[in-house]
Amino acid sequence: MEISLSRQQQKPKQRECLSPRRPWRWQRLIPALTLILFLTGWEMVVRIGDYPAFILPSPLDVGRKLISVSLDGTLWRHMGVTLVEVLAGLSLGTVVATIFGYALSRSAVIDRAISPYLVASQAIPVVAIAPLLVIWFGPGLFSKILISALIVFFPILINTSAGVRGVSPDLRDLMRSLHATRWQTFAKLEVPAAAPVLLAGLKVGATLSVIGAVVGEFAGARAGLGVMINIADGQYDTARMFVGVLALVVMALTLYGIVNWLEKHLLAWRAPENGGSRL
Amino acid sequence: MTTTDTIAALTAENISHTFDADTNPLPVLRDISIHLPQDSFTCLVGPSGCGKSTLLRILSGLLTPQSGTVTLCGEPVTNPDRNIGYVFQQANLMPWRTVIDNIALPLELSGVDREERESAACDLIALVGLEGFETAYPAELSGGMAQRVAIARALIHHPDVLLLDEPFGALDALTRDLLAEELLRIWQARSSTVFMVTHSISEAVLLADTVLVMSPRPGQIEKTFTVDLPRPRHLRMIHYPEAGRLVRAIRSAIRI
Ligand SMILES: Nc1ncnc2c1ncn2[C@@H]1O[C@H](COP(=O)(O)OP(=O)(O)O)[C@@H](O)[C@H]1O
Ligand SMILES: [Mg+2]
Repeated sequence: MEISLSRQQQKPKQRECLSPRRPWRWQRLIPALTLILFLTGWEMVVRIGDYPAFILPSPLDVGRKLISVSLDGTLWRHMGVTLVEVLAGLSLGTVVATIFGYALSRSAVIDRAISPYLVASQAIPVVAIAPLLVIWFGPGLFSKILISALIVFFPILINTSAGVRGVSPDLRDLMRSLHATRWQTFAKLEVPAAAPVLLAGLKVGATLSVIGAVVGEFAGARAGLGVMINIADGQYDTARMFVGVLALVVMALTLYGIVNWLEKHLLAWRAPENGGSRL
Repeated sequence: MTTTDTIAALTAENISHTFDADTNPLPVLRDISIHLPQDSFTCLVGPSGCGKSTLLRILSGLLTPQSGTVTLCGEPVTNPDRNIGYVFQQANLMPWRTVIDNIALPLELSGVDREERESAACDLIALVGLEGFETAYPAELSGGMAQRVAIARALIHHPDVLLLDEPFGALDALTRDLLAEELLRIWQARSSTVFMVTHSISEAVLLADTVLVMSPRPGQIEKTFTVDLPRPRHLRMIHYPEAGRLVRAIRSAIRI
């Protein structure tokens, strides 16, 4: 019998062959080089054009400002407030959106009842209702959390619903043929099957939540990076505005990085071909 | 092997089924009766779209027929039954579970503790020849290996009846032959009643005691062939003259 021969043909491909080749060390420095080039160009533009610092501060001005606002604690105070708003907003938005998204995808009645209004509500620009929410809920943390949650809500809702709808009908049949309870089907099939799409939505949500918090702070707040940027604007302290923006970028990127890391570890089972992109 | 006098493991009586009976009726099965004797191997062949998968879903209890009854060892089957194992055409594995966790899934769902279910899964991994792949994910497996995992998963409950829906349909010819032979070995080792849909007539002749031929939709059992090749069977038996005669007879019985 050919069994032994065919077994050999079925040996697994070596894992090393599947993963993309590690880039050379100098190739990993390329992003840093891009940054240095960019900063040098910027510094030269400022020097040659001789722009005043309130129009375009040089990278060195921004660096000096960054040091001074970190040392006197201003940056940390504002950043802390925004961070709380972002984390709370993202969590609230995610929890509510996944519950709604799941309900929509599992019940045709709920889908009919609320989907048209959810879609219509997306036509309302969050920027436009932010001042209203500040009037209703005050200039404290809560209105910012709400705005951030609202902006996060829709993409995560859509992704949750798409993920749950995408669960293979054959796997549903399998669970049914094995007498899985409603809870087992949820925990052992729907959650892991929808996880890739859900995490993709969470990535989008992570960056949106920062935008939501700042929009809320612009509409009225006592503290936060948005407030810091606003005050600096009033004082023609453009370098400080740059520091504020930089802090927001760092915050959004960190959140994105955390979700990315989660994705990599939770979805380690995916075929390696899916993991090649740098975005 | 004559099986008329042995007790039936699975019986279907006068099964008829129509999809979307109210709006746009599609009659798929008409008055089908099947008796699967204990420990027999039966194959079902028929043109595609004639209702083979639908019949299998009815036999497994996943689908309730519009009329007719299915009984397993004398008990009516109305819901999916753990004593019936089901193998889908695609391996239908959970890509986020390792081989061993996929195989152990049925036990996990019925609350068997980890140690016990892993030892049961290990036995089956040995039975289907997948030693060394316990912690591999489905994405790392070939089609044939994935289907071995699916068969192992269907066997872990020690089902009385194993239903297979074109289990080797998506595989290349060599892997197909190999797995067919493995299935025979597994069937002999585990002694259960097997009912398998296949589109390969020679595979049906090689494996089965009885080959049923289904008509185009609405499907009926048109002819029943008894395979008298000796057991244990081997791939080369397909070259026996009586096997060739049977293959030709079955082929001409299938109307397309
Ligand atoms: N859930 C369903 N609803 C409506 N029609 C179906 C459904 N499942 C199968 N059919 C139809 O029933 C017929 C038989 O399908 P199937 O049993 O899968 O055939 P086979 O497995 O023999 O190829 C096909 O025409 C198919 O389109
Ligand atoms: Mg089919």
